[in-house]
Amino acid sequence: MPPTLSSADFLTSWSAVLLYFVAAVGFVAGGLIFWWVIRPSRITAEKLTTYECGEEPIGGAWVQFNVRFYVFALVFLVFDVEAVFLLPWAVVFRELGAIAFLEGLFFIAVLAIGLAYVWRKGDLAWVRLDDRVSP
Amino acid sequence: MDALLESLARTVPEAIVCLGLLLVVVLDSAGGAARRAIGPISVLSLLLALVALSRETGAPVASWSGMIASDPLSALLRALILLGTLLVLLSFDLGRSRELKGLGLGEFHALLLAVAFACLLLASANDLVMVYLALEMVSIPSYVLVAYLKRDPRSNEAALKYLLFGAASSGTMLYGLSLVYGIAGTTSIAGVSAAMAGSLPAGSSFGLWLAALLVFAGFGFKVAAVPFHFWCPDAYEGAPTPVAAFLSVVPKTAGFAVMMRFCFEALSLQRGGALALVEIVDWPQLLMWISVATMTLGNVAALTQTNMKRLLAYSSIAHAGYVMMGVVAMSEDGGRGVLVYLFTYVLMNLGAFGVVAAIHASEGSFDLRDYAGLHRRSPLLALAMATFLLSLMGLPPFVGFFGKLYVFGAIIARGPEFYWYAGVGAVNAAVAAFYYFRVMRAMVIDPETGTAPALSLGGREALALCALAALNVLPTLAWGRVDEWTRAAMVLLPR
Repeated sequence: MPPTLSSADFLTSWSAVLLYFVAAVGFVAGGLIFWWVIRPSRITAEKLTTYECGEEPIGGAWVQFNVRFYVFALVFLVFDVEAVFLLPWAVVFRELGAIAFLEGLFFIAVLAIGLAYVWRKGDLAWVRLDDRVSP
Repeated sequence: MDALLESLARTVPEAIVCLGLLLVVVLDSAGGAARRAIGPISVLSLLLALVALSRETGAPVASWSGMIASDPLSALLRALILLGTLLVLLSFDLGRSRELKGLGLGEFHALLLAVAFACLLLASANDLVMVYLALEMVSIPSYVLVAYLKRDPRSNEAALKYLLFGAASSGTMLYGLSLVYGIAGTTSIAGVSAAMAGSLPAGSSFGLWLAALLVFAGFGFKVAAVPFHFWCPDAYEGAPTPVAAFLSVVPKTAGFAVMMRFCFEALSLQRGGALALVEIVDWPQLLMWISVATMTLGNVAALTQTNMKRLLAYSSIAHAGYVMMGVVAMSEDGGRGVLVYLFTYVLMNLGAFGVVAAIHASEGSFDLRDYAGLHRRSPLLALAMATFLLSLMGLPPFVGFFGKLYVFGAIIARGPEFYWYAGVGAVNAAVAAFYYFRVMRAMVIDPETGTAPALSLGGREALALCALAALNVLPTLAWGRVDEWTRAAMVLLPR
């Protein structure tokens, strides 16, 4: 059991967070209200268009994205997870010895099987082979 | 390092299923003739896991740094999960299925094994973090399995509903678990239990009530209990039939496993072999109302269904309500009731889904009206279906009877204030008999429209259904053994 604080102590110890929260909301809201009061408001059609780094926007933002993007996002996860887990593994590698090496090897092998699966199913190509044959 | 190897020795079945899963993915990637080995490899890995499980010895221990409980209770539940998965793979002729035509079966086996693996972990989870992790591991491949018919919009819709409900309820449960952690100061279930026995901080009562409610939302989603059941009929209807059958038994078993462990170990005090309530939270009360609502709504909604998959979905919701009776009983007998019910439920429900799949493979229909004259068109199927339905109804000498016997017995043993609850269960069983008999009437009495030809039934399906029908009767002859297994599994209570 960790030491338990009474609810009054608990609130006092977090009062700085509450103050920070109030200050943050006040800063943003104050700025918005202040400029809303003093600025002139002249709306034109051009001002209402989406800002795309200075380019003329083409079409709306509600378009269908190619489903391939999601597949690539999933494949990316394979490497992402690998990096996240191998970093702490590398840090304690020397202390744990052979068993850590085998475990890491198994982990990488599992991910490699995943990558091989994606590759064999043709999902690493932007246009899948079987999609080209039968549109 | 020794601790690691020791832990590994207690989870050999999990390791075997995991390796089988990897091998299936490799074989599927290799393509060509190697793909033909996928089915046998999956079955073999499950069989080997069962053998490894039966040879597991040693005192109850928490392995993997306390994450996994290796005890007789988890052993029996894991055996049920492996048995259920094995029966799904053996009794459905995937090659003959109309639904799965043209879809690769490699991913199907891999996902099925992935869910089974996660269910094994969930059944022996001994830590709130592990509970959550395993529950998510069960859910995610399940969503994909429901969406397996990727060109069928209904399958996609079902999977989306399942996903949305699953995400909402797992988030709800996580919040509940965080409250439990906040109150107990630890995530280990044994630690939570110890904290409950000690003095809790003032004002914990409300927090614990809220925690129990939120955590039950997660368990309720997995076992399809009212009001977390909405995904169930749609998911079963949209999913391929073998997947619906699998979801209705295996994750449900795991869900009850974790519910039982959480309720009996974390939320109860163990005093001399009996369970005592943690005074500040009366969870059996809460669970009892969920159970009453679940069995009543499931049975009443099933009355008007004409699609067999939906009918079985509502029937499976109702059965979850009965199983919960065993948990509410909060005793060793209640726990045994849950185990017996889950064991018999695997046999009878897989059988009923097996007949539905066989009829769909031949006729292409899930409609009850197309079952007319089944006793003439295929006497074997009609007889098998009648066996499964009578078992689901809970009539002796079929095994379904024992499930009801144990849970009702455990509830009645709690005392007169629980008699009305047993009464509600009994009325519900009578209501359920109505719609099970309706299916039988369709098969035997209802007039046929036109003269439909005899059904074509694959040899493997016929064999599997005969075996399942036999399994719905034979255990009755040697019930002493089954009784002994459940008794051995539930002795963990006095620790």
